[in-house]
Amino acid sequence: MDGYVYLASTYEGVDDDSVVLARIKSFDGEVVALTSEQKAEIGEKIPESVIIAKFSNLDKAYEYYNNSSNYQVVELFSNQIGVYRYFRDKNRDFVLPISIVLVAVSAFILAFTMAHLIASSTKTFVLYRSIGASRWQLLLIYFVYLLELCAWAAVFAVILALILAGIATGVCWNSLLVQLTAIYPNAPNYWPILVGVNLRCIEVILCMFLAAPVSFLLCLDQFSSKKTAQKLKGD
Amino acid sequence: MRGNAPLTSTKDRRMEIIKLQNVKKQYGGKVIFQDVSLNISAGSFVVLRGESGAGKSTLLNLISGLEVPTSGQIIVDGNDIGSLTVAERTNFYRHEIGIIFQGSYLQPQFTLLENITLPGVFAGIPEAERRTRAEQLAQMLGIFDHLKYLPKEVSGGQAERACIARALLLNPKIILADEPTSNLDEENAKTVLDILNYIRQQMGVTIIIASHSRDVMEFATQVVTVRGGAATSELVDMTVMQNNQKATDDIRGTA
Repeated sequence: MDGYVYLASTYEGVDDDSVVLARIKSFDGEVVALTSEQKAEIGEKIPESVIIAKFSNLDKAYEYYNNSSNYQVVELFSNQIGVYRYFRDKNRDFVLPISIVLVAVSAFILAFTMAHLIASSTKTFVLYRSIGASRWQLLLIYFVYLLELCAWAAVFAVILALILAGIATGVCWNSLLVQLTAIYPNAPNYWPILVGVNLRCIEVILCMFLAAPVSFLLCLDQFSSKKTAQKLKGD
Repeated sequence: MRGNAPLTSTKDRRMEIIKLQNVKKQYGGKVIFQDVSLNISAGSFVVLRGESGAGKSTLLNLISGLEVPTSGQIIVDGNDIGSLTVAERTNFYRHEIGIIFQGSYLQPQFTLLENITLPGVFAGIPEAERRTRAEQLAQMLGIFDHLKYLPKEVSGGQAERACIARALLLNPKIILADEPTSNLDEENAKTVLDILNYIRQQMGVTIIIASHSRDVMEFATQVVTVRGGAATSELVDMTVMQNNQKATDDIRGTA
């Protein structure tokens, strides 16, 4: 196994091969001819009408496989598509909903905490206003302060995530190794490390930064002269 | 620092810098001031007296524009406070008024120098210029050697002087001080009052101070008594001022 995804496609319609070829190319695949060793590994004679497509990108291979309603597509030499689908389903049905709930709850907690911080900053408001800060300067100061808090929250979230992923790696190491070996028996020894960064991590961090404008909007009225005057009286 | 008060007659008609006309202030159903009319001349040392809760701080907040009157008019150096736009109000704070709050309102994360130069930051003054001005003021107030320290690393008197320097950074015409000596011991309190009087004498700044301190009365040219929703004003006999000269010691020497 060389890490590529090999998909054998047969079209059940009447279009010529050029349609299939164009389709494979649109998913960043290439049409290849099997070597004699590969044919020996399959052990069966492959009809001439079958087109072998090779993909280096598992995502694209899965897309091609999933969008082949008029084709019969079979994966050769490995079961990467099956594993991909398994984890994708797990992610969709389990991980994603929990993640969304956790991110939403975190963002709201962050937003309301920040709103409370601003609401309790009467002295600083009054001071800055009394020494000539314009309203825009005051808003900018606090917005940047909120962004800084979000940045710190994101940093600690990443550190915590790395720790948890590291723990999960350690706990699940053996079982993961067994599963992967069963799925990829000819693969070299992999280290099933669960620590990594992908686009989803960036999305989560961006969600945390969304807490800054949300909380800012929640407490915009705290910056009004009327509210400041009310708090002056309270102080 | 030594200075002589400009001795003028009691009936000297200096320009009015603050004028309150029929000012009323109430919070909900509670009336703080019913109908206050008051004139304050430029270069005065005005003491606001009254019991706790009488409205001294409210009067200061009204004059400073931090609060607006329920009715009536407050004119400060020709500006009707109630009719200022937001931008005009910002400019007003920058160039007309310097405020010293009760308790040192210094930002704990900034050094004394950074605290003093804050108004210059908001006014867009270049760093070199605001630093020079801050150092001049610090030299005058006897805290030059403490500029690099944080507020928690200096004494209460030094922190209060930093507040005074901050209030003076942009050359205001009026200084409003709300109980500036309430957290200080007797010696430091006297020093702070001497400084304020010196500023008035040398720079022509109008000082309006709300204070329970008895020491402040020796500097007063005008006393405003706040009681029962009213504020009555009394000019102090100017002959009293002559005695103040002896009380204004070398500030730097007593720092």
